[in-house]
Amino acid sequence: MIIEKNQQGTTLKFTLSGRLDTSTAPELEQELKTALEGVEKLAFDLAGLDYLSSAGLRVLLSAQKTMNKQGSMVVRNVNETVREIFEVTGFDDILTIE
Amino acid sequence: MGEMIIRMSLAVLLMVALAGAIWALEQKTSFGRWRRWAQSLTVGVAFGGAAILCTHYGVVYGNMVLNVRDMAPLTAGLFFSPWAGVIAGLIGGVERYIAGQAFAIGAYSSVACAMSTALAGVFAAVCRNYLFEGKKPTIFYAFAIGAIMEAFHLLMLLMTHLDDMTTAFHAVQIAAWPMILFNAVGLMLIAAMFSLLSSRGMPSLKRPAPADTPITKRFQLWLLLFVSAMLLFTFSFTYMAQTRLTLENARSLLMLNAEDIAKEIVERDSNLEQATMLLKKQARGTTRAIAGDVMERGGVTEASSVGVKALAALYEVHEINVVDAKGIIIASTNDDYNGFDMAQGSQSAEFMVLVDRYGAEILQDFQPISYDSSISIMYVGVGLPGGYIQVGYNDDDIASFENLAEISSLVAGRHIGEKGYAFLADAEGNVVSKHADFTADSLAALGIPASQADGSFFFAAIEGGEYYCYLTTLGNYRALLTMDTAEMYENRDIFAYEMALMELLAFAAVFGLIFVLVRQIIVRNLTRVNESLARITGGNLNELVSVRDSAEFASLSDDINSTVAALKRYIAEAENRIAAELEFARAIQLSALPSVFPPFPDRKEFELFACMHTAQEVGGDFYDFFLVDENHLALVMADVSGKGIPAALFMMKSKTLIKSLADSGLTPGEIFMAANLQLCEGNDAEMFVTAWLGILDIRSGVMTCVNAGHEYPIIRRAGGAYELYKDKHGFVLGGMEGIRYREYTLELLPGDRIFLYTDGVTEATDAHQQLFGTGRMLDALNGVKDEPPEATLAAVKAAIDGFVADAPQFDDITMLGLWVKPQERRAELTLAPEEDAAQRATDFAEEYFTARGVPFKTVMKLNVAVDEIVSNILRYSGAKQMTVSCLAHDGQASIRFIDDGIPYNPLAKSDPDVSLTAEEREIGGLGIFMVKKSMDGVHYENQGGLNILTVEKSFAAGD
Repeated sequence: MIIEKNQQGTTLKFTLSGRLDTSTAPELEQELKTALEGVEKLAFDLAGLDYLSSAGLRVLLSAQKTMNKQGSMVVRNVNETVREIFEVTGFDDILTIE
Repeated sequence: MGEMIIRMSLAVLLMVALAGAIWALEQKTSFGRWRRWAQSLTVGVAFGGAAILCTHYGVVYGNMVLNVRDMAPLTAGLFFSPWAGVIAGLIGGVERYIAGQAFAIGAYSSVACAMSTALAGVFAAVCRNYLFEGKKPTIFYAFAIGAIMEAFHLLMLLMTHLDDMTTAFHAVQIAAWPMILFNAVGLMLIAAMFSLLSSRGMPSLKRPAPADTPITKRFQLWLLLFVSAMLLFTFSFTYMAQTRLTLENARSLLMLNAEDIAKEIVERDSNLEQATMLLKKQARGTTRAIAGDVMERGGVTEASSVGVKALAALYEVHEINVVDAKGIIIASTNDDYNGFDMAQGSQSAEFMVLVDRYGAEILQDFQPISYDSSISIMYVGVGLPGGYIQVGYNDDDIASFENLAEISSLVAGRHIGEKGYAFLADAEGNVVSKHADFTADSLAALGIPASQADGSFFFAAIEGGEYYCYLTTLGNYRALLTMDTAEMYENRDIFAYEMALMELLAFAAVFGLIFVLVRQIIVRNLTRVNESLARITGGNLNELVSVRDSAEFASLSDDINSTVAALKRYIAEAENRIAAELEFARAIQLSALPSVFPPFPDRKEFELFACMHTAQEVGGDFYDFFLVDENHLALVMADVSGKGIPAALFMMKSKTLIKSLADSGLTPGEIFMAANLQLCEGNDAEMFVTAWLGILDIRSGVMTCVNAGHEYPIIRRAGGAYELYKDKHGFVLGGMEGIRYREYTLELLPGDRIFLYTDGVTEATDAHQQLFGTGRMLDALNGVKDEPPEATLAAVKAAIDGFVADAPQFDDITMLGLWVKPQERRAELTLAPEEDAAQRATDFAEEYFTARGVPFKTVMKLNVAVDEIVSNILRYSGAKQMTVSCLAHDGQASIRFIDDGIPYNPLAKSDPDVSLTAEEREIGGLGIFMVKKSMDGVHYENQGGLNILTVEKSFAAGD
């Protein structure tokens, strides 16, 4: 998985491509631990993401919970496979998907 | 006579032999295969030759020549062919005419014979064609035809000699019976011979039952009786009338002749009288002359015996007496009379009145004289002065008169008819006049008894001849007048013969005509009606009876047609009703059979297809298959005896029984034993069912089977060909109680196939009544041996259809195919519980499925599943080793995860609540939930201490 990070002031944008699964989720989790400090607007661009597993969902849930306290979070450019996963798991209610 | 009979019989037998020989030629040699006209010509010429031989080798009888010539064309025409008859008749007839005219052979009858022979051929041809409709006549008809032909022949003989009937009649009289008899019997013999030679055999003399008697026969019988009786009656009546008339004519002829004879006798008597009167007149004159001479010589007183003697000599008189006034003879030619006193004799006293009466005279008749009674004298007296004279005349002159009319010649020359004569006898019966041919001199000698009354008519045999006689008295005579009997009856007999012959012909004509009419008008129409009826009963209800040439048949036709129309309507209604019911029954029956395919979509170990193509009628075939439990599949193929609703009901019962018994866990043998018992119970209709049952252990592939009289199953081993599996048959179900069924086992390995069927397949029949058969069935199967069951069954059905073509299907065609699918080799990856295990597993799966054309999106979903499950196992199970195996087959992707960790069924865990807020959510359990949601199937089992989790996802190639 390739994680691209782009921060402008309090706005942080991650562009994810590849697969967000058991083996790659810890990488993103690690990245978020440090990156979210002071961020008010968090955005995920998932245009390049092939799929995500429950490990990935866990990371996204964790990020959402953090951002619920300090600002907002959006998920963008969700492909069909990923959207299905969101819908099946009820994440479409939790996440703000644009 | 005897010789004639022998020779005629010989001629007849030769003719019979000729007919037999030609028949043998027809049967035994190539002659029978000649063209028809050539056969006719040959037979015609042969019989024509026979006719010619008959002409020239006739049998002399009486003054006639007899033969059986007419038999030749009759035989040819009646027993061989009409044209043969015509040809033989022409040959025989023409030759007969030429022989008669040119060579004077039987010239007298040549025209009649030639014509009848020529016509015999035509007659035979007509009879054969129209009366017997091309068949050979029976012996009775053969006899009749022979007799009729000869009657015609004889009649022709009479007709051609109308100017001399008597001669012709004699010819006919001689020839009639032999000709008729021999020709008729000859034909009868030939008919009998053919009857024996053909399979017809001799006609039964037993009277057939009315139902077996054709109308024409019945008509014939009554016609024969009635017409014969009528003809016999008219003939007898006419014959009797003719006889009567003949007798009357004969009597009047005899009486006329008697009158003639009587007249002749009277005439003769009157002649005598006249002569006597002349004599008397002459005697008176002579007496006066003598008296004058006596007066000239001095009168009475001067008379002397000498003187009177001289006078007597002069006048040629017998006696002269001169009597004086006292009545005393004073002079006489007879000296003895001198002195005789005339007053003394009574005869002479008469003359006393003449005394002194000159010129007076007395004339006496001839009478015997008292002196000599043998002498008859007539005296004439003339008165003279002083006495008288008496002159006696003897009867010499009278006698000479009488001699002129001699009695014996009176009837000597008389003929009554040609051969009739008259006889005259005196009062004592002595014949005084007769024809010189007869010798008898008295009536008694002629054979006429004295008691025979005068004036009577009677038959008598006189000196070898037969006569009709009349005895009567004519004057002083008895007259016998006779007529020759044969001559007298000749006209009557000619008439009788003519009439008999004519009547025979008329009878034949009437008989033939009515026979033909009855056949034309009634029998032929009845036959046409029957033919139509046969077509109607044969199933063609559209047939119309149209015999319209008489009111009765038109009405009969109409009645039949309207009956058939009504019947057709009823049948159509009934058919519609029955068809609807049968349709319904068939629908129920079919709905009882499992018909959803694939029947067990999640069983990948086998593929199954079955079908039933019902025939027109509701049949008794059925198939069945069902999972007894998870690992056991039962297959049933059965065929109930018979068809229709009963078979369908029996089939339903059988099917239900077998299934319920199987469901109760019995083995196939036990199932059939129990089913048999129950099917036998109350099986009054004696129906039975042949059935095959197999229960397959899906895991091991062992199939336990039992066969109750059903067709052999067909097995195809993986890589091999379809072959009959000749299993051990038990008895049919429902046939007999207490039958045991022997089980046997088959091992169906992956790739093996089994094909079950009913006899509707092998016994499908084409238009030429050929069976489809086991061979064609195996050929059809082996032509598609790698196809899945559905295609296989379709191919077999197509082969049957191609074979049967347009022929109707009589039986249900039912088939079932099972294919134990070869198990695909799974791609396997064994993993140790290492950090990158999930990564390796997903990479492995992705590579496997991508290579098998699984669409990207599906691969992604599968990757998620692999990731979730593998990470789950690694995280929680404590497994030391796990394997991931993948399989993509038939649009189905399957991944199996096997680990040796603690037994744990992730599917047992309840699903997470996906409606919670982010803060409330637990992330655990979400992975398995996602897998369940994204996959089509997830199965868990624990086997041998291993956790086995399988996920399945169908895909469409190219998505």
